[in-house]
Amino acid sequence: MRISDISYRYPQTDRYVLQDVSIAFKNKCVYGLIGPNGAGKTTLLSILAGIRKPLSGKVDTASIPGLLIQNTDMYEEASGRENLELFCIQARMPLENIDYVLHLVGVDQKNANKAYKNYSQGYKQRLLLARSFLPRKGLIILDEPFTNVDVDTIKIIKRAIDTLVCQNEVVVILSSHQLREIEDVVDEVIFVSDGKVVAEVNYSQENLSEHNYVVINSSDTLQIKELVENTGLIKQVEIQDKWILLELSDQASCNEILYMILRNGCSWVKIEKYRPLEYMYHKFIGDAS
Amino acid sequence: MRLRGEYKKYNKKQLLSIIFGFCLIPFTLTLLFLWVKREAINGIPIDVIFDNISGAWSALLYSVLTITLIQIVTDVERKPNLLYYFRAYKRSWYNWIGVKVLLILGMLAGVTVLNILLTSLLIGIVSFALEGPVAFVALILGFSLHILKSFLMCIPIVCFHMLVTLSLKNSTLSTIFGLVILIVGIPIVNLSDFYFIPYNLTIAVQKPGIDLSTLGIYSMGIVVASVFLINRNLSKEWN
Repeated sequence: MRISDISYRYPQTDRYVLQDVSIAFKNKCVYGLIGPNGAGKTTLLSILAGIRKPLSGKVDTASIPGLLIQNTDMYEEASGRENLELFCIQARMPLENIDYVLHLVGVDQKNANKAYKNYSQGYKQRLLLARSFLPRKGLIILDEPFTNVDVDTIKIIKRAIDTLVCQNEVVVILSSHQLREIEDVVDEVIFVSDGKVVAEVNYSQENLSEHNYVVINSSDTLQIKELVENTGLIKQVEIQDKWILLELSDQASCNEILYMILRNGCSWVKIEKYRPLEYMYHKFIGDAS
Repeated sequence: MRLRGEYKKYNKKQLLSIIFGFCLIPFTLTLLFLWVKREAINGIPIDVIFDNISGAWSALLYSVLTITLIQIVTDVERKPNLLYYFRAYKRSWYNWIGVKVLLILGMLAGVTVLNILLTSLLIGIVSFALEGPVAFVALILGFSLHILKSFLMCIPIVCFHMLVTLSLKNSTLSTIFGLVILIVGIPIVNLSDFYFIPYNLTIAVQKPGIDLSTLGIYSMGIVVASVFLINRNLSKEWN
């Protein structure tokens, strides 16, 4: 699956929301689409979904996508199961996958037979996710899947995405502003800004990186930089907003650096061993804008 | 299968109350009126009374009911934004339109049958109350024919108003539009030879001397054009 040189602008406007975007998607992979509001994420997703046609370029997807789109819902009067059946009939998909997707999102038979209008917000989101999983092949597009749901539902959604990808030949593309949540599920991250892809990062490799990083969220980034810069323990220092990345030299230990920073009274909010998405966001999107 | 599935989307109580309400309220009011004014209408030929009852249906009630039902069947897709959602899956909307039209016509057919039964009952009550012979069967047949002609003319109204409501993308606005055209059209169609207002076809078909073949061709034109335009509008770019 790939898109090549996609460009798009809305009718009666001059500004291009997407410009020459090309991405090749790998099978059994979860992609995170990240960018500020107005970057073109939703437009890109709706082009991938076939809802909008690009002005130029080519979309090469093998099958009908599964979709979780913001501001779309289900039939209030029908039960959860009936909603999925209706979807299968309208989208000409087999009904056999319904039990599988309901199981994935943790909706039991009893709850599946309740009228959709009686579901809680979390259950509604699970059902919407189940509907998007129904094709069980090809592209699955999830726009803001973690919005308006509680911690338990977020956990269920993450587990469902993981299981789906493990058991099926799918590519999941999800867009979210909740960077902390998508960190746990994505394999690849695509940063979009101003209608362009500004970076693609293999995030699943980030934990296994050979680089010896300490990434600190602090309001004293400049002080930390001054403190560690000339110690010979640091290969590289990089500041992005309230984040400071320290790449340690081979002889330096993480504990040693942290002890030095804390002993000098520098404040900190988070300390990570790898580059978190929030840091990357400031690096790539900040640079681009 | 698709029609049965379609039925699951709706609040059945709401649909049944609309269907029975539209039949039972006019029936009850007519019955009450005939009872209260029994002295005043004594001597008026019975066919004149029932012409007025069927006239209410052909002039107003069928069109209003059709507009109401179309708002319900389109809102059920519009509120959850499913018209947008299904753009990813549908290359053609003809099936979708066909199922909706069939569902509405099914409900209108139910109303028609209920109407004929209730009016037969009314004719029976009135003829029982009146002294002298009443052409019972002829009256029922006359009313049934009248109401069936109006029912058939609902087909173009269904398609046309569906086009209006899906084009305007706003339920309230399209209902107001439909009702205004319907009400403004009543005297125009009644008093002139201009009978091409889609919402008033139920009146036009009852006019004496009307060329039914022209009306039929015009109605078919409305159906074909509306269905084509609905499909085109739903398939084109959404903004």
